[in-house]
Amino acid sequence: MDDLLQEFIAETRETLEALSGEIVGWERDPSDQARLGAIFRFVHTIKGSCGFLDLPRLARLSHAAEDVLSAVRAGDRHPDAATVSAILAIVDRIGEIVEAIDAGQPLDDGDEAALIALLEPGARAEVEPVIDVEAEVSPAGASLQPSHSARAPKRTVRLSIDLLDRMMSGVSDMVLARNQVARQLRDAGDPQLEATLERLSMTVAELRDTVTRTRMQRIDALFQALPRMVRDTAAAVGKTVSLVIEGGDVELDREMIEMLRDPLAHMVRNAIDHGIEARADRVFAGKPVSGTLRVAARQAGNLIVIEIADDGRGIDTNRLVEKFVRNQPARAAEIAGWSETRRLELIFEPGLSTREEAGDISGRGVGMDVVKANVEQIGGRISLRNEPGRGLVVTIEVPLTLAILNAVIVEAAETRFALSRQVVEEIVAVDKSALRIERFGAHAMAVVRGRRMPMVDLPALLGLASPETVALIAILTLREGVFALGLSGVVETQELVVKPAAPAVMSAGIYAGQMLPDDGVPILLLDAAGIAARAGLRFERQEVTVESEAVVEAPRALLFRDADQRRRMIAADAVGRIEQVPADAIAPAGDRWWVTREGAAVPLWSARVADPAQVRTILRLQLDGREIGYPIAEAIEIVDLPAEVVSEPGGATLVMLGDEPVELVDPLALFDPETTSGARPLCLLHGSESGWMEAFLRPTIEAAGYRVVREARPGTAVAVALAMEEEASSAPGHVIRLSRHAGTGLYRGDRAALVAALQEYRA
Amino acid sequence: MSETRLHLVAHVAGRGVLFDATQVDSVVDLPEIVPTPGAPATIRGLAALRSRVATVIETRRVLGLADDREAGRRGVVTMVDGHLYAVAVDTLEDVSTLAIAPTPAGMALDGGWSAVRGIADGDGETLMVLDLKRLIELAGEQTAEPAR
Repeated sequence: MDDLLQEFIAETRETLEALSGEIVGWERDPSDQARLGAIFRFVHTIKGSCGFLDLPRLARLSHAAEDVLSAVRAGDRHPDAATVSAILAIVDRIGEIVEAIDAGQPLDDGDEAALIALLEPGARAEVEPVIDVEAEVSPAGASLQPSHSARAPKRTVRLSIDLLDRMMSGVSDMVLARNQVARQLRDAGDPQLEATLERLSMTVAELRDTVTRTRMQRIDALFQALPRMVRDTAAAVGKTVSLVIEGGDVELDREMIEMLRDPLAHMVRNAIDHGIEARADRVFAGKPVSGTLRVAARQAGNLIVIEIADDGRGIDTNRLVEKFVRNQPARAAEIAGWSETRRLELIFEPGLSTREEAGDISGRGVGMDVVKANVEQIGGRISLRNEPGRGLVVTIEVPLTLAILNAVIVEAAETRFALSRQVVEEIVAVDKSALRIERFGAHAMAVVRGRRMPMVDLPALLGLASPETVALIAILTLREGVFALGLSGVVETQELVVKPAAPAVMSAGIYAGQMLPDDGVPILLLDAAGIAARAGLRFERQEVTVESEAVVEAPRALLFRDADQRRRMIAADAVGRIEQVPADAIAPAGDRWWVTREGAAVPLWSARVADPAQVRTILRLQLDGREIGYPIAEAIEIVDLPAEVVSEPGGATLVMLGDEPVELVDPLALFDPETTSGARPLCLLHGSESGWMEAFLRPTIEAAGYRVVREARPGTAVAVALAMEEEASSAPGHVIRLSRHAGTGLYRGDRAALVAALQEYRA
Repeated sequence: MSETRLHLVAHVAGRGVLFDATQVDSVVDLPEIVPTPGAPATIRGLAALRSRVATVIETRRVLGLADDREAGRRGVVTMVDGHLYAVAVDTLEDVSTLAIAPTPAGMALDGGWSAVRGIADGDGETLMVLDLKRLIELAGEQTAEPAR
């Protein structure tokens, strides 16, 4: 019994930890079905376990919560704020009781009846008590903290992959056996036996899931070492490099992660050593002093793609060829006829693998042949995208030796095949008017709602049957393009483990691996790119030209309900954070009210507040070291700041949000409560600080009668430009130079002086 | 040069062949086969051996013998480079210790028969010792079926 109890405690604790995010999410959006489901399952499991563990208090709590949650799930009850709070209070209470059981301490249960009572629909009016109860409960929980923190750290062991594989195939056998038993039992029709089997089934399914995950690891394990490596390598060569890591949550076979460790380290070092230029060279090339290295992982169909991109000098292929020909003059004529891509691949030739030579040519080459060999050894591919002067992107693609794939199982000529859910954009039936198939001899085209794409007949391609059997098409998306695959049926979607197929099977060039679903009949996973290649589809490679034109991001604004219950907006950049403040943090001193946070007093802007002592939520606005608290009733959402602005004679600025005019709060006016009003010449916000200016100064500038832009189209007359002192020389026309410091020049926080300067140019 | 080892005795299209027992994982009745269109004709397809998927080798085709859809219902299971294979044979007679002799000098063994690693005396016939690993390699070396 003790073991069972321990297990229950550990499991509950683990689930609660995992659930904490879901709870917060559900609180924010009570209509979220997935999160509701997760919380329901938690409560349900607790209830089930409590029964045989004889834990009546937990059983009572979880039972009450489950009833309400299932009513919400069924749509019989609306998850209003009171219900959500009551459920969350119960979940918290369950956590406390479990900790108390673990610590062997008694826990007062006086308020549990009250918690359950709050679940009643009628308890809606008692929102306040919920908070009170929570407040009472927390100290009880807090007293248990010592046992909580004294828990031993997570323990791990190392296992051989062979053992894991045996475990996995054992579990798979179990699944197949279970299915057979289930089929035989269904014929027998004994309900009691079936119920038992159902429980066994669930356990087996969970077990399989767990075992499968033991083989997989997040690629994070590989990336964790990078920040340190980048820092050390960059320091050794006297460069500044910032590292960006993306996609660390991609899951990969543990074995593969080990195999990729060396090639990845090699590429990263090369990028820093040879790709990214020295500081002086970067300044000269007009690049930021600090180089950027981006390492990103993503799953693309049956491949894991790892990209290592630097913004360095790229590879000068002419010098690369020159160097290569000097070593091997015999191949000069051959190389002269090569395409740029082929010449670039000289980097992988063993002749260039020593450090000295690589240092001479304008790129890398340190053991690139070795890296390539390593990657190919694990069935991977390595490719380069070179932009001389702008950087190099190395792409390593490795096959998923083992992956759980969401597969669409399709039929062609009475054989089942699988397609990765990721590449399937849509499946359209031939009898629908949305789809038309046009044939041109051996080729075919599918027209789906006016969109034309090449079509490949899967049965015909496989030589299985005549094209007439096409009953539906799957629209498949590749990186290069889109095509339609003609099929004779779709069976279902399933999450399946993919394993590589034998080389002889892979040689067909159209398969990505094999799978074994629960019915025990193998399925081949189709490789969409391979099919396109086999069918001779040629997609024009779309050259993406990077526009040098800077994209001006639309500023965002926070929409909130103000203390006077009206909806207002404020530039999101102006808000440091939104904070809940306890009653005792607000006090009057001198002639105004103050909010005390973390030992510092922040003035409270209280013009619209009847009783400042009742303020519970504030926006903390920051401007160059100054700070004020702006009381609000609640934050509503973040929206794009509309471009059209209406000026009101009273000095307020209005924007149209949908059909509703909303006042845009002028942050500068709050810091410096003086107002001015004024038609609309153009004011250009110039330079790297234009985002800040838009957030803070736009209302002031608009109030001074200007229209604000962050980018002037050629030919438009800019009346005046605002720029920070250091960037003022590059601004066009009349420039108002802003200083960062009060007291020197025109301080950017000095509203009156700015308004005066703007008025001067208008006049 | 002759050695004595435990071998499996099987027949494919009337030919007696031997497999080194140390190379053999197990022997099975081949279940339903899932075809692998596009792969070489020497690959019959995939079969599930309990929870593992095996690639079934059409031994008759590797050896260039007459096709027979009804024959080849037994499989000799072996693992090569992490992949599981079942080599289809018509019948499996026996496991016995046999003295293996080298192939007669001057015998030309090409195609699938280049997997032969020796011979042994059978019941009124010569039994050919086939190397499973080589046989499977040969099956994969056949060019894939042309598309369409």
